[in-house]
Amino acid sequence: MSSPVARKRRVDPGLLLLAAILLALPLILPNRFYYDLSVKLMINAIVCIGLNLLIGYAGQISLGHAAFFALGGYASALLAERLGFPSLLALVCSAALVGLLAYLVARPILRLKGNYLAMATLGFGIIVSILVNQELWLSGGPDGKPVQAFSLFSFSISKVEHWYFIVALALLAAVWLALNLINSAFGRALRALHSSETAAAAMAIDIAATKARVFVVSAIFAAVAGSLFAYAERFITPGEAGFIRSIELVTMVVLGGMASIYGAVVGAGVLTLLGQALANFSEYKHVILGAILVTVMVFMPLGLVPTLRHMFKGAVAK
Amino acid sequence: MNTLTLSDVSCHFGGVAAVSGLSFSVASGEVLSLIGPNGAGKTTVLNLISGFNQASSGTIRMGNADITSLPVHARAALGLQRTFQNLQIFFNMSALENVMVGFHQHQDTGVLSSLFGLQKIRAQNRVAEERAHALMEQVGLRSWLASDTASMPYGALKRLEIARALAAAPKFLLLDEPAAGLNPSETAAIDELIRSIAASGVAVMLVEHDMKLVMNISQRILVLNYGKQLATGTPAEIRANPRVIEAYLGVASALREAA
Repeated sequence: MSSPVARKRRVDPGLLLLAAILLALPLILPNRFYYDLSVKLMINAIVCIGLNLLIGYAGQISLGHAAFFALGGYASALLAERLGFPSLLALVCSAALVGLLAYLVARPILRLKGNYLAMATLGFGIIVSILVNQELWLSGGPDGKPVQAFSLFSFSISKVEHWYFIVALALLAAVWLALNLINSAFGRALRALHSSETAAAAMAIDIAATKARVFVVSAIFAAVAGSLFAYAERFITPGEAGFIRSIELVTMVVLGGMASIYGAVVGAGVLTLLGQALANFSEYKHVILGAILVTVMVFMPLGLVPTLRHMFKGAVAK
Repeated sequence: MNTLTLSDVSCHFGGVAAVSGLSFSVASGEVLSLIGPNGAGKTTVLNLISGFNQASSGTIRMGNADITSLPVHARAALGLQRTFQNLQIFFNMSALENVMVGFHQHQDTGVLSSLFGLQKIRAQNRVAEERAHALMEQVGLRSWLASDTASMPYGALKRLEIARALAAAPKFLLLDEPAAGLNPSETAAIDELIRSIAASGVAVMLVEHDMKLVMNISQRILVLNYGKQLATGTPAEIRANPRVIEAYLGVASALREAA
């Protein structure tokens, strides 16, 4: 019996390809600016992989994921600065705190039928955005907050070239974790409840609990990415928590492809680079992003990666 | 011996009594059919048992467990499975994956072990896939093993739902019009399949309009009319019952035909 499920632990070919690209990329990065852009791109990709588990696989919308991203960053910075936590411990603790917070936000909402999660996360994102803007004593306010350098075993990591490889490793780990999750009974439950909550419940899947769990997972992906961002940039601003940023993340997921791990990476890549290319047209940037989102929804509702995959399959079939 | 028991169960939607004062039981190895005119409340009864509708009064028990107010997923976890009159297929997944979802309650669904792709998760994926294969063959879907659900015809999807329900290894199986839209040879195959499921010790409840199928495979039949029990008995008793023929006049000829 031939089988798509691996007999032995087998590495996904897409993961190897991604690793090769990430390893080769520094050969053509001309300067630190492009290293920094790559770091931001990969950090967005990590958030989008988590967000796609929620949106693409489980069919739930979050309009406040930037808040989890920013909270991860701020919490890491504050735990290290105010409580003297070692950098790595601060990162882990901030992820755990954000996970707990996500659970508290989602659990009561997800008992309700209908898409209240989008509304709740929208409100949550706005509250967080206001707090990081207003609470000067904690967040530094609109001017942003400097972040202590990341240190591990008394080595301080501050060079962007080093961060490139750390974040690349984190991205590969994120892809690997997400692929594992999707290819499990839990992952099948996510896709099942996306398609039919009726049938999923009849298959003994606890809908509310499963949604809450994937929401927490996606929030933790965002929080870890936020911590990496804060450490890599050595600075974090309230803009990272903003509503526009949340929408940007959702756009990346939709553009790259719903229910596609690599789609999330591609979507984050395309929009991060596009955002950079459009940096000189800042007033029109969001108009253009909006236009792209509408165009994709109309002409390739599956998103880039699934659409290309179908085209490729079709071409092979012919 | 597992028995599903309804005691004096009623269900009101506003002022309408969809089901009133219904009591019956179905034991393992038995096929009980629920028949009646359109709107008699047959699907509502299945919904009450599986938890998609809540009983206004009365109790529903599975073995010794009172499941009257349990949510759908908790009833399923106790060994209750069903299929749907209007297909509820996971169209975003392959046929095989649909059946694999049926194993949910018997698998490790921990987030951490799933994320890290532990040995146990990979082993259970393998087992689920092999058993899903076997179940698809059992329900006659051998030729659809590698299919996308979107490309499968109605009759095959009906059987896919049965395979998915069987994956959960249910003690009680509710089938809502499994033969609807099937041709005679497919219906004959469903007949065989339901017999073999019951023979394996599952209590089967069947809602079906195909009287020939109902008369063939049921040990007992319960006739519903306006949400009330009109009659209950063996197929022969039901066929001879004048009240059933009166209420079910349109199908009286069908009953005779089946006899």
